[in-house]
Amino acid sequence: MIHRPSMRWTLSIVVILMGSLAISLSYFVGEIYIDTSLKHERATIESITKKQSDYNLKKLHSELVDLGFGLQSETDYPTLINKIDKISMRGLLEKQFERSLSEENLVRLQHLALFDKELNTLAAVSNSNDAADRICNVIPNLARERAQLNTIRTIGGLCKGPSSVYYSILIPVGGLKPVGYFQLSSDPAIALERISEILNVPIKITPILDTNRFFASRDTLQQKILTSHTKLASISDKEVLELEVAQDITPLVDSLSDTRNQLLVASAIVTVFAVIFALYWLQKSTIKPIRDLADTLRRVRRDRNFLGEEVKLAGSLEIRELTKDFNTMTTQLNVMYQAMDQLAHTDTLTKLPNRLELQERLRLMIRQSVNRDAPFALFLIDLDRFKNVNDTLGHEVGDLLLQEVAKRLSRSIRETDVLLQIRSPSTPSDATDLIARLGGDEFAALFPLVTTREQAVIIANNIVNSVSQPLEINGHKINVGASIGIAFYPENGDNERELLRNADAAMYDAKRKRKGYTISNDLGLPQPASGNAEITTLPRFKH
Amino acid sequence: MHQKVINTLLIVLMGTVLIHPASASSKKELQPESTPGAVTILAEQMLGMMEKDQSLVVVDARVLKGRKKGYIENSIHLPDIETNCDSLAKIETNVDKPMVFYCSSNTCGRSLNAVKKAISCGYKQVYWFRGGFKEWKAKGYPYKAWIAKK
Repeated sequence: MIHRPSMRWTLSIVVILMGSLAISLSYFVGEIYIDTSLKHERATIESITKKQSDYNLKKLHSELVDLGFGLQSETDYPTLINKIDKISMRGLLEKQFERSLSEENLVRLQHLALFDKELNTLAAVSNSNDAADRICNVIPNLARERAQLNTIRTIGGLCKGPSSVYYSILIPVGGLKPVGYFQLSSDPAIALERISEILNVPIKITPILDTNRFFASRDTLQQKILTSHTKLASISDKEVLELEVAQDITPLVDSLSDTRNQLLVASAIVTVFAVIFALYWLQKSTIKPIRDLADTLRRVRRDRNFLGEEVKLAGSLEIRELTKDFNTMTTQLNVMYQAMDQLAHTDTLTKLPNRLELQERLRLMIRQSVNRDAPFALFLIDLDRFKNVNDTLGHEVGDLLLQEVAKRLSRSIRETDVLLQIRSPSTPSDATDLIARLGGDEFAALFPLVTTREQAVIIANNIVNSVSQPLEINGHKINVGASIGIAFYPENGDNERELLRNADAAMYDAKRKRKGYTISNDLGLPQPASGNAEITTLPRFKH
Repeated sequence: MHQKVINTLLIVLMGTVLIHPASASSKKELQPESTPGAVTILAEQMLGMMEKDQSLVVVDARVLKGRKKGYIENSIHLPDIETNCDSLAKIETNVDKPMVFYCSSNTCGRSLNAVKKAISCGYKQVYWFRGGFKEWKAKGYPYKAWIAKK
């Protein structure tokens, strides 16, 4: 047989799966939370880096301007320019350049150039790999464009040489009435490296050159290093420098993970409670009521006495309806069963209990008596002259006669109960007298409380008198009598068969002697059992 | 736990504020926008005046320490502490002629001090270049570097 999971298990698994789903959802939410926090952190670092680099470059600009005007104050450049003495100019420029190399602060002079008023190069000196006349041409070009607007303002910014990036400025020579221009270009790295000290993070500065575009490396979160990339634009608005800032975010990642884990634990606890509640609720609303139904059905199957037992309404609407329907069904079945049971144990003609009922009752009483040691009396009653009535007046009259006799027997038994006063409020309810029609004109009576011969005699006389009263049926006056055999349990038999056989024998004795009744004890020793089935079974109909 | 994260972010943000250049000089008080009897001017206006009138008197009201950081071409060095009617008269006797005063920046106060003295001495066309050398330099105008006299 294929083992199918119970409803309890199926529902439990579904609920637990949903709980697991909730926990994994909260895990992913936690991951997203960490990711968002790190993105935010990176944006913050980028913003700080940008601000700081702007600030440092402004300082560099200022220092370059100071240097430029400082150089001018040392030499009479206007005169030199006016003379167009290029050789002297170059020599002077080289000298000043050499001296400026030892400048402290942010300036690392890489290039110095002198232009005339029309921005034609007069002399240029370079300290880098790039040729002097190719470094940051964009600055004088820009100045030419702006010449109409403003000739004396300093311009400057990041710009490219063929192999490197510079910070370059152009300042007028000759003050408010310029006769030429100075271009000073510095390596911006020193100024930008300061960011590393200020932010206390390592920084990598990469020039973005046409030949070698820089690609940002992937974030290495596993190492708990957060890198941010800030791009700096040149004076001509092209990205020329990339600042890669690496930050150790171990504490941040740890705290984020802690938060995520706490979130996870909290959601797990909530989920577990939710699962427990869901299971409890399912158990209460569905599983238990269904089990109760199933248990009741099983009990009914084992023992029909449980038929009609109602199951308490509980659980969800559907289960309640099911239970209600079950209760209706079991009640109806019980009514039907009771009716059938009644039919099976009742004599249809006289409405008295039948042979089957007597047998069952007798068996029950013997079983109970074994435990209680309670004696009782069994009467077998046979009508005298009934066969004549039947033969002469017909079965219809015979049947009516039997009905009347049944009434009389019942009445006389009730009367004797009162007469004997053997009943008290403490008498067990199952100790009721029983009168049954065995078939034909044979009746039997069981008296659970009759234990003595005297009591039996009173009852027997009463029955004989009652039955012997003349009666009129359909205009016929009829006289019948009764012969009674009385046997006591356990005196005249400690089992059903023996008791019945002895009562039967006594009844025949009474009939033969026409003396109304015979008590089994008066017959002397019981006849030995001959194995004759006729004797050991209940008396048969005689006609 | 959230507190930890928030704290980290706060520290980073505070860092941003602290290293921000603007906050460095915020301690000093700004000078008033104008003063009665004088005209407040910007660097461009002063430049225009200088171009129009080559003999325009521009007074550098800073003390020597400030002057050493560079100065506007053709400006006369007269610290505010040395400014009085006599010292002004040495520069310009004609009280109808325009005079421009400047110092380090819009927070320094020396130029305003000198402006007030010049007005009290009866000068009729007193101009106050409130932004001072800082504004001049920031706008990219040329200046003279200080050379120690040997």
